[in-house]
Amino acid sequence: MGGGGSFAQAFCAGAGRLLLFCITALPTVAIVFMIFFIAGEAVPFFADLKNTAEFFSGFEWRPSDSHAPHFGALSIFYGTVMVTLGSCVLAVPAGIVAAVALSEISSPKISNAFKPVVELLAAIPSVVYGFFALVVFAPLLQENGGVLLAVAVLLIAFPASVVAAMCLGELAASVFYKDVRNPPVKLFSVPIGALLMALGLFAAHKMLSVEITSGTNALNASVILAVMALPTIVSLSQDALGSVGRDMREGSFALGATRAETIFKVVLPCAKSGIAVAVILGLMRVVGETMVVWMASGNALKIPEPFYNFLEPVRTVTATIAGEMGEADQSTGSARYHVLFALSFCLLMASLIFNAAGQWIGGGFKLPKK
Amino acid sequence: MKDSSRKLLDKSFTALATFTLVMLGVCVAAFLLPIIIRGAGAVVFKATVEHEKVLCENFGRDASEADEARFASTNAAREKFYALTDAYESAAAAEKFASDIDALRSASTAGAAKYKERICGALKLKSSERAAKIREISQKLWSGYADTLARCVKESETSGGSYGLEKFLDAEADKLSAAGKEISKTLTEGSGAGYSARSAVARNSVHYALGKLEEAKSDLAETNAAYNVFKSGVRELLGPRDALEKNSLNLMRQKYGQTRYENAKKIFSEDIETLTLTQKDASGAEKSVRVSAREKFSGTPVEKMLDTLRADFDAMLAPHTAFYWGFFTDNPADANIFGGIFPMIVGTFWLTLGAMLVAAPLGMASAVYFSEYARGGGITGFLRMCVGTLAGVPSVVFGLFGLAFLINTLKVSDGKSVLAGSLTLALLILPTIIRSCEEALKAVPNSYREAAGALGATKAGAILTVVLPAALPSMLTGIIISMGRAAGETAPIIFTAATSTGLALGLGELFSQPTTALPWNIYNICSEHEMAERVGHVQYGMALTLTAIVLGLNLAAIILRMKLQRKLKNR
Repeated sequence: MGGGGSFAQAFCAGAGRLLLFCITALPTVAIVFMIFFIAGEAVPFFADLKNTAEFFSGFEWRPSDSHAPHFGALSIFYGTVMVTLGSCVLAVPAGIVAAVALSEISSPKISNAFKPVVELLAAIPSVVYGFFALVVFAPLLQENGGVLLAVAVLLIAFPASVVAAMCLGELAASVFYKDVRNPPVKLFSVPIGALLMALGLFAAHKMLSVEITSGTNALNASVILAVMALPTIVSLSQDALGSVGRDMREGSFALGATRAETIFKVVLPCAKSGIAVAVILGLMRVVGETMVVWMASGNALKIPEPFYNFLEPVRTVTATIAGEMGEADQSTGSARYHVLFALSFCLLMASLIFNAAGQWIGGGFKLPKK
Repeated sequence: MKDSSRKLLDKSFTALATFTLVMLGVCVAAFLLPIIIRGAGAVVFKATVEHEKVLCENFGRDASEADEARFASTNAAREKFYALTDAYESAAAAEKFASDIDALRSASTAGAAKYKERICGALKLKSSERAAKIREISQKLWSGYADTLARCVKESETSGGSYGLEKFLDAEADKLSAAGKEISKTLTEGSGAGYSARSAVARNSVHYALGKLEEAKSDLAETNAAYNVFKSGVRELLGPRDALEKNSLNLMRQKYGQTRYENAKKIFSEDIETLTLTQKDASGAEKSVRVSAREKFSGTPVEKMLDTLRADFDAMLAPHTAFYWGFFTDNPADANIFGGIFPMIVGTFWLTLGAMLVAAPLGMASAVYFSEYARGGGITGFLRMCVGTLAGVPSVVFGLFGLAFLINTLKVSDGKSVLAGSLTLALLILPTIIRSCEEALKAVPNSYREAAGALGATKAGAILTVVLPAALPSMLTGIIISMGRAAGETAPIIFTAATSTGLALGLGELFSQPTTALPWNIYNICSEHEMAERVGHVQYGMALTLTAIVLGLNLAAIILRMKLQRKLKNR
């Protein structure tokens, strides 16, 4: 404290500090209250063990049926898992590559130009993403689904096959020409590349004939969610990559490594825990996202046929809560009201676990960047 | 590995990374462009004269001279078209046939006496046989009438008097039953037939004619149903014809034609040039079929109406570029089909303001504690972890928490209210604010604190007079960004504050009333509107408005931050 502190002054300072502490404890209190109240409303449902068993094992979801209500939430959980996995497959590689590109490859000018772009992408409200998914993307998918899928397959297949061909060509050359100084790599990589590209073309051709019956489906939701998760993954991964020391890179270059080798063998391994945190936080955003899945996933209460068919509508936990709580009797405790709280309790638990995992991996208590 | 292929691999990886960046840019463009372009269409668009009519009659605008001129010219152009429909619907064609049919009916009535003997004979039969017998006799009596009827219908269908003729035939049914009574009177007079026998004669003697009449009418009905579909399409396009018809309609959307030129064109091609008719198939089930109006009406006066409509389309609607700034300041009318989005903008403003008023001071206070007072260690770590955890809780869970805690337990209001929604949103953005404010405080050099202390300031004094002012601009960026987030969040307000329809709330109603808000209404108008195709421009307009608000706030924050960085560099 500053000079000449009388008792009154010290008291005031102490009281102010206490007040600040109380305010700071607010998020903690909020978390405790949240768990308490959500769990409190879920308990009447979980108290009935038969219902609880059905909740985690059944497929039939008819919570408002007055005669024989059914609370099987498996297909709802499956919808969430499916959409999450789908968006992860798209967003994680793209996000990490974009982060690497921004922090390692592109010039500072381009990186600075992209920073606001990524921030804007993160700032766009989820309902606008949902709007885009429902009003713009869904009709597009429904009418030109085959063409879109074919283009997507080509966009992924060509770069992938080029890189794979070069790696596999090297590998094959080193196996067959063990003792030759300059093995004819092209002999292997060109046919392998051609084969892979042909495969890609074939897959794209197959996709052309795919017809999508409904534009609001798991694929639509996954794609839009992937775009939503991208900013989180990109900016947090960028932070993680940026915190890898310059000396590591310079050491690697000094040993004669190319930039790609430096990135893959030095920078990425160093930043892997930060990147893992980025992925987890991106995943959390996807799991907890409501509006996009509510508007874009089609909300069909069934497991797609076959189970990996992304072109069929699904229904997620968040969409169920948002969609049914409006209709469920909000103040009186109907069975449906409580089962929705049970769903959201599961969601809350999942987010707490994810968070704990993220903080454990991150090795510190970092705040997620939004 | 060979050096050359290592280099190639490196190059191709660089290419891949650049490609990913380009795709990211493409993604952003593909996402924003449709929203911006079509969203602007809510304000700037090619309007028809109906747009000004709606504005003048419902939104208190005064008609300008240009508007008056448009009203006059379109009304004149429409009169030309209505003259055609009047001629088609008038009874003129029917009058041509009316005398023929009248004469034949009278002749048949008069000729009934010829059959008196036979019908009186039939009256002695059992009641079931009696009806059949009388019918058989009357078939001869009415054969001339039936032939004329069929001929008239055929002629009217090709020459275009069918609409008037159908009305005429409706009246004809009454005349036929009157004729039946007259016949019965002539035939049974003096025969001492009872009441039931008399009514049997009355009924059955015109039974055949009535049957033929029904056939003729159903013949006409198909043509006229198609014409009615055509006419309702025209009404959809141009609006009701006169004030009388207008006042008899309930919904605002029925009282006006298409206000937007692109919709008008769509209506013309989809509801007027092609008609949706219901037809019965062989099994009697009804199904709707799409037919071309031109083929359906070829050779009739309706074809000429189609031609007039096509030729005078622009003259009837007076398309012109309109700037509808009222989109932001008008209340919506008739489920958002007309008017603007004023209440939603105001609702979003109140919710955001409320959330900021609660969250910003609390967040700043927590940030001060974390950065200035906390000494590390277990408790601080735990508090920090809770902030992080709160930031990770799904937004829909916040909404449920607001419902279960704020509304059902604390009862801050009776049901949903702006207050409950604001508090929920405040809780949602609190972690973001704490985090950004803490970063801002940490960026203030320690020398500031030390200098203040050296000058004799207490710690609190130093924070209030030196550290906070120095950190304020940078804190502001974080707070502005959180504001954008609060404005755009939907899930937390679904159960706590949002309602689908309603007017802008005043200050006094905020503590008890739910409000409309842009995010919720975007969902609502996209997913639950019954006429999504007529509110497309409102959907895009709302999405653009919300995006503009949020991105505008973020842009302001980014610019503020850039200015700060430049200032720090120059220092």
